[in-house]
Amino acid sequence: MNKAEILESKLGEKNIVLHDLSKFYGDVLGVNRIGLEIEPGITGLVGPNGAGKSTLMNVIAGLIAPTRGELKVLGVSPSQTEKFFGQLGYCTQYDSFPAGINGYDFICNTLLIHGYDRKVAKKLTSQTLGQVSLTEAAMRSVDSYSKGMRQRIKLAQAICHQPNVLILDEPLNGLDPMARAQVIELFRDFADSGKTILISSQILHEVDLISDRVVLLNSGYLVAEGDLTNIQSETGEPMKIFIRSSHASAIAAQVFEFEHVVEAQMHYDGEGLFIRSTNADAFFLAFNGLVVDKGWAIESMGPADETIEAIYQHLIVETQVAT
Amino acid sequence: MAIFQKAYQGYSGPLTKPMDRTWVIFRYALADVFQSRLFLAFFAVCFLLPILLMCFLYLFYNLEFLIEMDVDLEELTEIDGNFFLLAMQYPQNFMLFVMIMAIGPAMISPDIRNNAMPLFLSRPINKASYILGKLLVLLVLGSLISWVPALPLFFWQGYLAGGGWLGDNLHLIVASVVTSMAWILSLSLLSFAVSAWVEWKTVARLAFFGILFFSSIFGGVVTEIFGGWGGYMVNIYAGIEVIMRELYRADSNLLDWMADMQIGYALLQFFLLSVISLFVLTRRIRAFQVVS
Amino acid sequence: MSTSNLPAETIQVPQLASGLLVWRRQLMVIFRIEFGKAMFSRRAFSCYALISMPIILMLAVAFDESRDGSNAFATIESARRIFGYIFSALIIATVLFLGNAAIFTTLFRGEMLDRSIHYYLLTPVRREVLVIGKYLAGLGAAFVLFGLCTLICFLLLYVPFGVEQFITDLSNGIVTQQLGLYLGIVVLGSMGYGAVFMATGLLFKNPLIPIIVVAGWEMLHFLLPPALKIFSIIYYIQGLLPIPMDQGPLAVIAAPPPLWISIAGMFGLSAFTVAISVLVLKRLEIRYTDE
Repeated sequence: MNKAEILESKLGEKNIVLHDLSKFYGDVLGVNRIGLEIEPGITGLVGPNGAGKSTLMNVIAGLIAPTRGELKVLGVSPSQTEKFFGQLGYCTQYDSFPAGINGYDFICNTLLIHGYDRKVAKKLTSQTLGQVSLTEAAMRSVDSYSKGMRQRIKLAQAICHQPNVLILDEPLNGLDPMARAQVIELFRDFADSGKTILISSQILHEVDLISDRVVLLNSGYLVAEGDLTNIQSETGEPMKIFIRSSHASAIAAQVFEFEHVVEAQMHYDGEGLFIRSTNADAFFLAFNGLVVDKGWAIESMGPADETIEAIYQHLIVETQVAT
Repeated sequence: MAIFQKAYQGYSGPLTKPMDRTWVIFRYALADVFQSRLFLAFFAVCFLLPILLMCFLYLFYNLEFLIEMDVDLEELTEIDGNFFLLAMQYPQNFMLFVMIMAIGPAMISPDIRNNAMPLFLSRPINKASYILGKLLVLLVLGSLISWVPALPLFFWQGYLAGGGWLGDNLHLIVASVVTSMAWILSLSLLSFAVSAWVEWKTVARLAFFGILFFSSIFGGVVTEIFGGWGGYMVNIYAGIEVIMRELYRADSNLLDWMADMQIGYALLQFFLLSVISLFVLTRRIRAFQVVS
Repeated sequence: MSTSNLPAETIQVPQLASGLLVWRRQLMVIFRIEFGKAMFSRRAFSCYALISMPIILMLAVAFDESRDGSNAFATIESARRIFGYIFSALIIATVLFLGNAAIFTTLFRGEMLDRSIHYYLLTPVRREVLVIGKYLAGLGAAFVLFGLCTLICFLLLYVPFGVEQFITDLSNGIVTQQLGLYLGIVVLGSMGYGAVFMATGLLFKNPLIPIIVVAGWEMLHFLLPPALKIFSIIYYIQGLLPIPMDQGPLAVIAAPPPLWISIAGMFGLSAFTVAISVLVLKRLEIRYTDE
């Protein structure tokens, strides 16, 4: 079975299950009544500052107890310490390390505490440090690492025991473009082998690039969850469709005859067209007929707002502006 | 044209005097201190003793009250340096210790821990003005709970006693001011040095307490074994006891348990403690971060 | 990116051991890490400074010939008495107390201040194992540091009297009996103070106030009535001193507890506070606020 098939076969399994989960810090709301079922693959956790992303991740990782509700990771609750933390890795937002430790010992000690014998721990340490490109800096004190290296050593600590569930709080922070690409590839490999990754990031286009699904939080509440197409269709907003064709202006003149088309906008190069339709399925059906009738050549066509940025803009930014 | 040339104009106006910048550090540090309600409550409690002593002095010189209370006037003690040392200066010294232990280590360690020193020192503020700004907070607050309330007490006593008491005991004012300032200064510098060394305010408080606790017991053991002044030199509080006793011209038998060495040694101890503390402080407060 | 940094091949990880075997492994690793921190980190500086003081004092006493050419240790009996006084007044009251406060309070609180305790809490280690591992590591470090201090001070006692006196005392059993008791006191004192300070570090964000309260209680224990003395650690360990010390005219005299009560008392206190620490740790939430 190849990696894609492994992932396909695991889809539908609910590896992280949150049921009506809330966390309050005294009177302050952390997250409220979150119900989520997260499948294998990469799930992006998106929301503005203070939305409750880190709180939610800390709760899922067992560092904070929920005030109410239930949490299970691979069917295990955080109170079952040995089982729970054996299959979960967490790269936190805290940029701090045990005083004076070097990169190698940091990872090796983590593995030894996991219960691996020294020989295996050493092998896994070398392998993990290689995966995050820290082999050469392994013997240096973590205090002397740059921000990117510190981020990578935290990542190594999260993945070194080869967990089935990986929680990553802003893991791309401080990484240079090459390291980003390498780390993203690592996440993709992880996900393709049927593991579950929950990743939060402020860099929306990167989340967009790597996530199979997305969870949107705002002010401690779950705003949306699922794959981008579903979320977009559930928003009820007219869908934005981009058509690239040398007949763009002729198409623009014709599409207004469809009653569900509410807006048409030419691309600045005159070879493309943005259309907003309140009924995307009906548009595609009618437009196919029109193309055949008129004999237009269509280079490409597809949704233009199935991005996290667009959804974020609609569900969070516009809501905040409106309120 | 580069954006820099279009938009950026360096400031070319006059700068404030260096001392004004020290006051900026002072103002912010003072505001930080009073953010704690617990400290505010403690600060208020510190004024209870002078108020109680004022009442005591009033009653002490109220013959009607004393006769009503059946007090034998012959047995009444004299209000002099011994009285002010035991009743006012000694408890005040304890309050100063508690105050400095509570706020001293918290003034510098967070700045070092959070790597704020390069930010402070990249502005036209130097080490001296930074330390002075923080030190002034302790000197001002310490003065407010020690010699400042002691002054009206002396005047009140002088007014009630009459007969030139104030003129005869002017040295008590000097004693109160000098003893309090010396104690505040030595404790403040020590607390700053410890907090600059340790970097965590909680641990710095522990270390500050530990140093004073250990020095008093170690000094006591050395005195017990060897006798002489060596043990008192180690005991940080012994030095201030000697200065205090000398300046208050205290000679009561009640003070026999106090440290007994020449004032020169006490001044030497005060000087050495301050120099070592300042040395540590200037070494640890620097405009760059050292990565081990 | 260098070629040495290329991802390695996936290692076939063997099935993790479980139960007692893994607990033992975890305990040993935690012990090794924490023992290293307590002995060799920057924080250990305060302990080394503390233990150097009695040693310097003993050196000064042993080589003191200022008075009439005679040593402060005029006779072996007076030397033992002076050592007993230094041990009681300096080693127990300050070195053991402050040293254990420094070692054990920072076991958990230090890591919270460093914002690194979550690394332990993210591993599949039972909280009981973590607390016991840290406690044993602190105890080990305390015994090595303060035991070594006691041992060196005790050996310095014999400097003015030469090796012959030492061999005589060794063959008479005086050395083994007295040194055994002094080291026993170090162990029991570290167990008691260590357990209390470890729990203090977990329970209090600012452990200074409880430490001052404990210090005051322990220092004034000689004034306490016998019914309250039993709640002070020093009561259990001072009774074991081979040369009893005069506690001053104000002291309330109480019969020292038998050896087995001292030992059982410290074990009981340790078990109790370790259990409390486990409960606190199980409820601990990671919310690093400003120090």
